[in-house]
Amino acid sequence: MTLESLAAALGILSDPQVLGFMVLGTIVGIFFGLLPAIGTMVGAALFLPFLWLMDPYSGLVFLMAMFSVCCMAGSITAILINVPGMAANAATLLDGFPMSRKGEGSIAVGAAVTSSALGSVYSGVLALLMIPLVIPLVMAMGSSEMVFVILIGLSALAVLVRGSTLKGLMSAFLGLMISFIGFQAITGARRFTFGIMYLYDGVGIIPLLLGLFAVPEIFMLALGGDGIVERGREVKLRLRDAWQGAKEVFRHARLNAASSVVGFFLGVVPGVGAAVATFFCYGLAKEFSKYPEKFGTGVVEGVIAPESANDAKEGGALLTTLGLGIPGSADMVLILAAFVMLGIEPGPRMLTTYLPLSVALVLVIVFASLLAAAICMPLAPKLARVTVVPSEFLFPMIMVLVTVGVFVYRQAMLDLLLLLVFSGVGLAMRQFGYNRAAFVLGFVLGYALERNLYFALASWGPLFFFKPSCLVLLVIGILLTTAGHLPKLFRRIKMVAKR
Amino acid sequence: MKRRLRASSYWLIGLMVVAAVVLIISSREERLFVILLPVICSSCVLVLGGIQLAREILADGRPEIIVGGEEVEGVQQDKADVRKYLVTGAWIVGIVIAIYLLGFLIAIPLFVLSYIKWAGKRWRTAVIFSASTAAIIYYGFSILLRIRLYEGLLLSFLKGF
Repeated sequence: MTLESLAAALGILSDPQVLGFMVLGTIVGIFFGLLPAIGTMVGAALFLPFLWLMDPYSGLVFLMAMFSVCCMAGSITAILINVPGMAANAATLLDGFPMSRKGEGSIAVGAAVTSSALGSVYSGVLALLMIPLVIPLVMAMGSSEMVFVILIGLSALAVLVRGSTLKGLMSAFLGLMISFIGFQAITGARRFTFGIMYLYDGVGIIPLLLGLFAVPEIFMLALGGDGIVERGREVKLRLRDAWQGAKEVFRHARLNAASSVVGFFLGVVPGVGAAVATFFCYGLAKEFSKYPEKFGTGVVEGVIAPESANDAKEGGALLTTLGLGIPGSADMVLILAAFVMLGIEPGPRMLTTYLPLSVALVLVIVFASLLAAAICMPLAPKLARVTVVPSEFLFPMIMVLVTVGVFVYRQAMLDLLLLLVFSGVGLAMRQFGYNRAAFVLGFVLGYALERNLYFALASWGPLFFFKPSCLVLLVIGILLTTAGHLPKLFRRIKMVAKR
Repeated sequence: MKRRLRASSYWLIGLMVVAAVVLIISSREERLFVILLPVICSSCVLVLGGIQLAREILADGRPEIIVGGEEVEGVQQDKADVRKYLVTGAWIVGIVIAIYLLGFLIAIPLFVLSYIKWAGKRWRTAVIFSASTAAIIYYGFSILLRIRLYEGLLLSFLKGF
């Protein structure tokens, strides 16, 4: 079944239009990955309104290509100018920039780009191998199990991403509350519309997304003033040394493979972000290194390990997102939103009815990364200059894109008012440490949660909670949400026991 | 020394008020399934919000010191920061109002031109940027994609004549 789907997926990708959008998505992803203050979440949110202008395959391939290459681009700025393009590149900074200071920046860039590309290849292979194993698992899930899977996804993202657990959970519940505005699909009842016709169809996802993610970031960028990094920093790259860096990855093939595999499986766990995966692999590489004391002073292994992990994580996160309909990472929330916008419901059907599309998206991770490596390797110093674009130009450009994008979505002027409302909400959430990704996830999954709950109650009544499969999922959910607090709890118990 | 609520606490209270409103509105509906999840979610927000609010009020070991009528929260409040927030916010609200009144094709170049000039760049740079942006928006959306961009209240009013 997977071989036939693989052939069908290659057929999808060989369409010139789809291929063109994959290339475009790669280039756009590199651009946004290089901009530290903006990042891929904002970039993807900016392009979501225009998704309906493309056919669904092209749109999803475009988005997936963007997400696949952003971390690779972010490593360039991390290494050359000490500014991580994404949170995931913070681990690369630890050895990447010291290498740059020692005059080995070209080697570091070559190693980072090659590790990322190979990491995505490992990720693609693992994802394709795991699909036949995951299909029976997701097929066995009914409405009752999906209720718990959705709740696990919500709480995992709310809890495991850094920040306060309480605030994360509140954000998720708030997102769910917003999703209830409008007609309830199952009963046809109107909820929380206050007689306003505009709200009958519910809150638009585009004004919500752009208001929560894009506007607050560009707001803070405009506040910050004069550009993202200081101008005039000279960045030099020698291609020969970059190839030397690429060869280092093959010399450390085991490290690259191990970090990729670990990164992939960490990506499968819902809510585990790229930053966690990269630092974890960096720590492992240091632990098993022959000279751990050299880590942090500029060793190539300190670049290979995190960069292999941050691209490999994408395949694992995608598998969870497609198969279970819960995002493997905060980035995948936007992929989920894109699916919902296009009328494709992520979940078991993605691995059955839409299997060729799912396989195509896995392949995009591989192809886009390889393409990005070919672009980034020779052009790294020129690409790094993108970060010195002054905010005086970025702010108006992005605001124009945001307003046009919001209008183009439903051609309703009230969407612009909604954009302002959610911009205020997004800014407040950002300033006070609330989890915006959990909010969006709650909003996106609200309909699916309600529908599955309805069918579960209709089929099993309130006792569906006590189904063995549901109890297992409940235990998994509790373990996931309390995992971060268990070490603290054990320490407290030890202290009390000592006294 | 007085204990005062922080900005984050006011935000939290606002969220709890919204949740309370949802709960009150839901109580008027008779069909259980219509209100089940809204009631559960709003109750959770109220409970979690109450705990977080209590934490913020009780855990704040450094109460705000009132000095001569002006609040000093350990570090002097930077009024310039507040002004920056308001000015940037005004630009964002401004572009939306401008689009509503003047339409996209007038508001966008006007916004780009005025912002870049206000940021201290030269007129030539500002004009080139705003003209390019207007051209891209017009050709990209109106011509290529054939999307009718909103004309604005002013133009609609003038057309009425």
